[in-house]
Amino acid sequence: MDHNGNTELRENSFWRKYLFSADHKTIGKQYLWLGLIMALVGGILAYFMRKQLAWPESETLTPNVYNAFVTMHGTIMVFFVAMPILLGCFGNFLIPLMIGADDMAFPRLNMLSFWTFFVGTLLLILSFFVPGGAAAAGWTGYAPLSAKPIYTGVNWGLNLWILSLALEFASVLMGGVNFMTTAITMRAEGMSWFRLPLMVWMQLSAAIIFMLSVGPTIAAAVLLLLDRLVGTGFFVPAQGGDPLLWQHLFWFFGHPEVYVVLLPGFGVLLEILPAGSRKPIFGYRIIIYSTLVAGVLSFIVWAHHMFVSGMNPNLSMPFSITTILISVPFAIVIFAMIATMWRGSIRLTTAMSFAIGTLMTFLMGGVTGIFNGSAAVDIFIHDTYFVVAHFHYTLFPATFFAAFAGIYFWFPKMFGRMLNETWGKVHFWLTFVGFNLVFLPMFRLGMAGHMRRLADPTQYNFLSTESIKSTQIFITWAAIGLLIGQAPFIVNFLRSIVAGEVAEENPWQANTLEWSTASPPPHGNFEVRPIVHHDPYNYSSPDADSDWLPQDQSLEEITT
Amino acid sequence: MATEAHDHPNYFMVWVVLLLLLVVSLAAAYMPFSQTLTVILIFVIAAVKALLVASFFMHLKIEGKLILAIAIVPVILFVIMTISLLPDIVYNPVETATQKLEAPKSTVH
Amino acid sequence: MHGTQANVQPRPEFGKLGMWWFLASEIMTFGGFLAVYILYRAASGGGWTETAEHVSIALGSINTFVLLTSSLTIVKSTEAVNQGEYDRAKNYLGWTILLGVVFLAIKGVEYTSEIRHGFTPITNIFWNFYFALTGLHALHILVGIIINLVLYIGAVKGTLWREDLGHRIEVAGLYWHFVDIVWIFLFPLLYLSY
Repeated sequence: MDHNGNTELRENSFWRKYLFSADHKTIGKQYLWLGLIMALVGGILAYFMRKQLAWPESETLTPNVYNAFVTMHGTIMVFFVAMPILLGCFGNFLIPLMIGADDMAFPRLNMLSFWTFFVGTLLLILSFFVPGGAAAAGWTGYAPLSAKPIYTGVNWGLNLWILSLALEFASVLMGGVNFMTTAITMRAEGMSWFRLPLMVWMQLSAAIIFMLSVGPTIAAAVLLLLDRLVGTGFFVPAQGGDPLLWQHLFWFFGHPEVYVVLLPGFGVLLEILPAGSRKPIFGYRIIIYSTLVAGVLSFIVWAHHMFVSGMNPNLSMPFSITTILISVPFAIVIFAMIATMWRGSIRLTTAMSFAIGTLMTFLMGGVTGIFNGSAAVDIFIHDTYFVVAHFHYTLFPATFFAAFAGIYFWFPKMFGRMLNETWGKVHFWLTFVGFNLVFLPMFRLGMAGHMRRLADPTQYNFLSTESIKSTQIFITWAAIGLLIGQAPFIVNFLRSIVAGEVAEENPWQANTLEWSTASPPPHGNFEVRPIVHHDPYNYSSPDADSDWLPQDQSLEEITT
Repeated sequence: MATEAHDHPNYFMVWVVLLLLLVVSLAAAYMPFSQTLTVILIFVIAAVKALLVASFFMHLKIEGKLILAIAIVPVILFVIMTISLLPDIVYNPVETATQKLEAPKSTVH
Repeated sequence: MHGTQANVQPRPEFGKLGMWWFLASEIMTFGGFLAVYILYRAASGGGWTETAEHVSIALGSINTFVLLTSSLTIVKSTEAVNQGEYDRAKNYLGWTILLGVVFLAIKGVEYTSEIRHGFTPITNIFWNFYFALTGLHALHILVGIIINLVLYIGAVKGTLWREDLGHRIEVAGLYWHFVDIVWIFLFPLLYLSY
């Protein structure tokens, strides 16, 4: 609405500038703050769970509270950390800058999207403090456990959980509409589809996947809420409902959601790796096509979460096949990333370290995913710590390693100052080592038959052995280390906003359009609307004097 | 706008056809056909009605490929989802509660 | 500079495109509801027929007629905007709002008589679905009425035409037609297939 240079957005009061701003950069930063604070909440929940698991005799958490913490940890980390940072922050901040637009297509819708998200977050936090406590039916909210308040003893906690998720979905839908409309209609002159930075491609793919998959889950959530509030029986067997259908409808969205989080994470890597290796990206179009194929496949793999749910066994084989199939396009993208670094002159910045760390850890997650995806193997390891280890090896790299890589990379553009590199490296090593020490032993626990979501494993004899106990204690110490390892980041982040070294326009000597404007960019982003002459990864081009060639600089300008 | 370049469809005629289809579907529901035939008939008619509204009232007939794709892909996805759930919810060898649902109490009249 | 297309499109396209993206997710949401209903009903093997006979086909048919007509009036309004006949556009929009209200009124009469006959939202699973599906649809109608009302007020005041925002009627129309299409499927699903 404000696209053609309307003056409507010339806002200067404090409220309009920092709080109720419709500027995509401010909204992106608001999402970042929200995501980081919620990450802290999720981390603290994880600490209490780990303490309970290592020393069950300490009775840190009662089983009910433990269930609530498991549920809320999952919900917060996926929906209120990964989504706001990877889509809300990077998507909102970068898409208009990278395509050379002055803002989103619908700036006020964008603001509404953030504040809807914010209210959703508040409701979720609030649910801890209502009588009965927070939702305790797992982040998947499986019916019939979730369908009647008496089953978990949680009444309003779970209702609020559904409401806050509904607000979150509505917010991301608004964001997705904005992303798509912006990228389709507002690209700068010369920015054809195959000159778009891969980050934009990944954000768009994620937005499309989200918009097309979330519907059935919204439907199921409304029906579940009716079951709880009105007394209908959509998912209650005694009243003619079928709880299995909840699982189907949840995972129809729940699985694509993994890719909604993962693809923007990949987008971060695909920007950092070429800039950090001073080489063009390997297989630009192949990466795009692979992503699209993976996007299509992501809609037909969901039932691999349900091999032991009692669903029709005839469905297992088709879903096993599609699940293993989807690893092919992702493997292609990973290989393209590795080939991009191959023989490059690598600049091992903190952002680059985190990017490489993402690759290494995600690879483990991907490979173990093939175990889980095969129905025969899954029957053995289903619902054990093997699965916990697996999905932390996929989602932690996307949510944290890739997000940290992105934060270290785009911090100068967001705040106009540099993060301290030395402390960044310390943060990287603490996170990388800490993460692997926490989750690698969990594979072993899973193979030993250790079930998930147990508040007190020692109630089983086979989980009371000295070996299992010492592993649990080891994991807990590692997790404490991982949490403490975030302190350098927090201090570095807060300190650098006010006292960091002032950033220049293009500190990483990268090519995409956001580096061709001031740091931080002014309202309206560009002094002169850029014209795009090249694809975004023109590093070490023999035609140019320097080893980078910004997208908006024509070769004639440089050579003459 | 682009629509002005095209001949406007006669919206009134589309509306008349829609109403005719409504009457036909009502007639089909009251005819002594077999249940299968009735169900097929009324849903084919519903699909035709939806198609008419989408292509003329919502201008899908003259929209570009992109908007056409945005409209069609979710419909295809919905069909795929429903079909792939059939074996589980409807034909599951493990008898589910839904199948055992007794006819509801007819005492409440 | 290369021969790539000029990428900045006129403003009306913004709203239309955004609305279509929104409708895509709406199709999936209603698709989810309809899928649950269809699957359960198929699984029941005809067990719902007896209870499903108690819906009022007459009122359902009248409501179908009302909604189809309101679709005609809003598309006529869009047509009038494109021809610059703002007064006619305003009147057609007014008719659309009125028909929407009539739809809700009839729906209210239906609900009242059903509940009075003992068919409440928790009677059995068919009535669970009946009230959930028609209730959500009615909610969408309500939202549509509010949107149309805001535009109508703008049309009466003339701000809609002065600020050249007439294309918003077309965007609102897309939503209204979509809600109409949902009803086109709900009608046979809930009323006719007993």
